Amino acid sequence: MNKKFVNRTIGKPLLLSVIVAVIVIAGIVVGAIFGFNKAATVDDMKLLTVNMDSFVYETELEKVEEICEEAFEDVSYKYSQKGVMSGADQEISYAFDKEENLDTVKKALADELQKAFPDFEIRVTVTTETVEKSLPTSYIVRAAIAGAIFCVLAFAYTAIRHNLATGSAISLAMWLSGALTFAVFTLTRIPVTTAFTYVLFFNLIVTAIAASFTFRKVDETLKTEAGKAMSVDELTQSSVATKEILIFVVATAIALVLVGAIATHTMRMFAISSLVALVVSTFSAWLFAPAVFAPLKKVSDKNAAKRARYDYKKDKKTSEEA
Amino acid sequence: MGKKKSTALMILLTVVIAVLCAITIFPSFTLPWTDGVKGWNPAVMQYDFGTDLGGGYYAYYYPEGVMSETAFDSEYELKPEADKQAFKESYVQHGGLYLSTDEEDGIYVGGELSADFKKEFDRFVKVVSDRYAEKGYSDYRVSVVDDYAIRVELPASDTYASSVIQMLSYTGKLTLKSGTSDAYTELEELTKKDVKITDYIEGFSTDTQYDVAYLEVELTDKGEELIKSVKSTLSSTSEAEGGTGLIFSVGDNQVGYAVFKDYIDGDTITIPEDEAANIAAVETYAILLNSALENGGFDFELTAINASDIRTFEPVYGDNAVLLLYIAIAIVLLALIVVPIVRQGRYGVVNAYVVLSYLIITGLCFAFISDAAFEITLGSVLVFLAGLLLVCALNNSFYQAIKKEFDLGKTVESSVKTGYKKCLFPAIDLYAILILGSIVMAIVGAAGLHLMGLQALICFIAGAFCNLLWMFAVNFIFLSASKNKYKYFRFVREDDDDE
Repeated sequence: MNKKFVNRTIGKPLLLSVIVAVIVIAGIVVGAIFGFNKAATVDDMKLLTVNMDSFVYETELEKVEEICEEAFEDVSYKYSQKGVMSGADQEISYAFDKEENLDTVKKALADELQKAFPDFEIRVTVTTETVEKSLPTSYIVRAAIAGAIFCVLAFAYTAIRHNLATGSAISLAMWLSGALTFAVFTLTRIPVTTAFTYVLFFNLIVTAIAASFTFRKVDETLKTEAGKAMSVDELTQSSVATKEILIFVVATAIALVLVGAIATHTMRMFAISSLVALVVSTFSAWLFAPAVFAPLKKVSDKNAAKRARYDYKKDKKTSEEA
Repeated sequence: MGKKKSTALMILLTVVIAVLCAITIFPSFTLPWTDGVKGWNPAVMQYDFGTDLGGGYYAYYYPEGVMSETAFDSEYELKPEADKQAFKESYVQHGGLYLSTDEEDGIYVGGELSADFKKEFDRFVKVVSDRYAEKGYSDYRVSVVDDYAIRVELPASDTYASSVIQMLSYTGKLTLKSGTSDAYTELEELTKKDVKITDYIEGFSTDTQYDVAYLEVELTDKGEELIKSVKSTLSSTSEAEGGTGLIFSVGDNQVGYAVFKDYIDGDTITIPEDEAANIAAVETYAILLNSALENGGFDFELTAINASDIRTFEPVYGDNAVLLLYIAIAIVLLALIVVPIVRQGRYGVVNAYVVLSYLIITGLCFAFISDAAFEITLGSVLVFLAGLLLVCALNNSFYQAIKKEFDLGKTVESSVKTGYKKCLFPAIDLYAILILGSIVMAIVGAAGLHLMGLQALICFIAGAFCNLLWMFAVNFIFLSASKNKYKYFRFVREDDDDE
């Protein structure tokens, strides 16, 4: 079934390119208008802070957290952070959406904490934080440049070692993978943190690995007599390393699912982001790279055949001049 | 290789890998004796983590005249009854902050919030953000709190977090002073009207040489002349010995050590600051001084930040994030060891040795290779997993290639030789591309991506070694010791004329 599906896509590079282009353009438009959906740690927020002394923090922290969470039943907080100051003060901060009105919650919580701990000073404050910088623009620009250079180097190495068609196919698959991942994140509004650049680099690595499985098979097939006699489409269809790619991708997905399942909620979001990048790189390496390789190989073979003709014909213009 | 020799090598290999695995991952425990080394910690417990896995430090910057609601309430309660009302009236609540209405603080002027103060504060926010950006952390945060305070967050791996937070908050202007450690006064030339420090100093940078980290100052022609004119008054001795030197200060805060005669060479001043291993601390001096040089001083001061004002926070991904992550990776490792053993027989055992070798190499390199701040982040986890799965995938492709050759009727030894040969160059090509990509990320990428690139380089070089050399060597040893080479690979052939 996998083979039939792949064979159908190999003959349709234009269709795949159009679909991908539409998604990427939509992603760029949505990104330009709404930007990324920033995760709590890199976004503006309203911070409700419960400040207490070290005795309460060491001995009654669970009770304090319980009271806080009961008070927050009607509002959803993004994440909590425990802060320990060397000295007397400790605090728990809860991050909320910047637009959330926390005046009522603050008063209710302060009253409940006063009732539960009448002999201790526990203060509740609400502040609004506007992120100035969690990542400089130069960081993102350099990440994009690094990704682009990676794709160019992959093209150069593969083109020199093998042929232009293979180099172009791998490089295009990597470019597409990066652009599509960016677009998918923007369109699906998956929360983005500084770790997004890690996921993008991971995406490029997986695309390069998975695509190389196919092109290794292409080289192997071309060395055989049967392979030399095949048409480009037959060669590509018989060489797509479906089993190897899917085993590698599934193993990676299981590893990521384990990381997400076992670890905390926020880690789960990171695992989901990585899974999305993995799916995109699978598409690029398994379907797009072979689909785009076939026409490129045909052009390359045609040019090679022209140059190799024993009765090499000059082009029409020069023959007329002669 | 003879069976006895290969068996001996197998045993030796097993012992070495077991010992190195223990060094890398064996859980921590306390030793029973009280003298000397008190506990055992594996390499994986020695990592520096980014904020996502290791938590970090945070602090607030409050301009003088601004205080948090908590601080206001505390001060209010400490005031005598008679003074409480006056104290309350001298502040206005603004979100979670209290702003002083005293015109000397400059926040309120003529009963209204001063636009000049806000403008100056906003300028300071941008400057502080740029200072932290220059530090090159994998992860950090600078945010404005209720318009008139700043909150900064750094990763826990920064061992100088306390001094970084304090130093990068300085609001004074850059100036050059001369004197002894008892008293320094600003150079007369620089106190003149319309004189700009940028006319004398081009910039600051850092360097290391002979185990010492230096702060280097590039002077302009005018600066070179000025320093020449004061050089004769400087000592060759150190500050501690009461010598006369020059200091760079930002406001009232001296930055770095004093400059003595021997440090001056034409248009460059080279100040030895610290041990080379502490270059990160010296880089903070350079960042602060360059920032003060470029942006000048500010019209307000911040409330002094003490080390006790700096808070630690737990990892963004939860307190047990690291432990849970290790458990998840351990399960993945176990699966990658067990499944090939079940499917591929003794070749699977060889795969297990190679996987453990990869774990040892990357685990030890991550722990003991330092790049000033070699933090482990989630990016590190991704490249580790990618490298690990690639090692297993390529081991499997070697196995399949050997099996294919065997199915053509070749002997096991011949199948191994031909199978490896066919897979070797494609594997080399793949690792070459990945290593090139890692080098690009390490050189061009910044902050966390730079570190991820370095870590990817380690993972892929380790993977290349494991797949291209080590796998072959370990397989050769195990195969030589094996009695039944067919069973070794779980191959089946009906006609057996080869034994």
